[in-house]
Amino acid sequence: MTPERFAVLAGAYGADPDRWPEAEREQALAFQRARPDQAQAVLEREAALDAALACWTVSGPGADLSGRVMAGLSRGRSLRLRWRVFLSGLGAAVTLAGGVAAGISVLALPQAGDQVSGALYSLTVLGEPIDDADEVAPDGQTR
Amino acid sequence: MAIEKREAVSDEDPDADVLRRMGEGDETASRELVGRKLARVHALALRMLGDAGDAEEVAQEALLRSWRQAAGWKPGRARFDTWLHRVVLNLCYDRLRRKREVPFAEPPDQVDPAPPADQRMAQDQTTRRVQAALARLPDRQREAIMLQTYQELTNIETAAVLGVSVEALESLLSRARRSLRALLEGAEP
Repeated sequence: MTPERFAVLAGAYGADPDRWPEAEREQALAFQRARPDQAQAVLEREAALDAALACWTVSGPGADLSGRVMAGLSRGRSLRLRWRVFLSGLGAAVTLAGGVAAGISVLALPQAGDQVSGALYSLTVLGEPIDDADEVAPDGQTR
Repeated sequence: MAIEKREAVSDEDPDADVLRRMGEGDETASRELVGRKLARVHALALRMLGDAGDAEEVAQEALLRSWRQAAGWKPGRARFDTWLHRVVLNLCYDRLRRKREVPFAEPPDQVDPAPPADQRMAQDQTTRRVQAALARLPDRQREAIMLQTYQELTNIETAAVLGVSVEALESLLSRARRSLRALLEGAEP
């Protein structure tokens, strides 16, 4: 490790080796051991800033915050459960409505003997169009 | 500071299991996650916002969002802790924008319980100067200091939260610390 790199490391991460990137920590510590005077000057400057930053401590959250968070999660769980119940009810209703609609459609389908809807019947029920040659003209003649 | 806090990010997300259980509706897992994250989330919000009430609301909202995410969380994409820190920062900025406040305009309502009165006074004074100096940093530099110094994230984790490379993070931190030193020594950066 070069003196320049050591200065950059300490300048970015501070004087505490625990804060240095793991990949370079050993090399930086070796530099510190090999050139203590040079390292010391850099570290003292950074340690002063570390100490100033460390003055700003904050206390933990109030004792009841954890309980309030858990209560919020519990409300969320309850809402999610209600939403799922609602969705499953909605799903059942849609399925039922679909079944009723399908039943009505089947009842309303044209019968085989219905000449007017013969082509439609052929397409929907038989899945193939009536051959043009067999199509019945309105006057009853076969074309 | 515990060295393990500073270890590089491994492939395994330490929160993956608790998230999976939480997603399955396990209330014990929710309690475990809240116990694990609440203090850290609250500390970041308090430093960003400078108001205890706002910080508590942000912490609550962040953890509620965690719970909502849990069922669909895909391990391996991003670390949960990285995602959570980003959520907290975003919630803080939303709140600051709404209130049109300058961060740290007032010192936080609370500092740790403490040392003797004269020592406490000196510490409070330094705290106020640090807060004022941090408030003058560009947002990205301030975020880098908050995450790396106060949240004790590794360089890799901090870079992931900020969405930058480790090299770019190093540059942000270097500039931030140079500016802070100049401000605290009474000189303009």
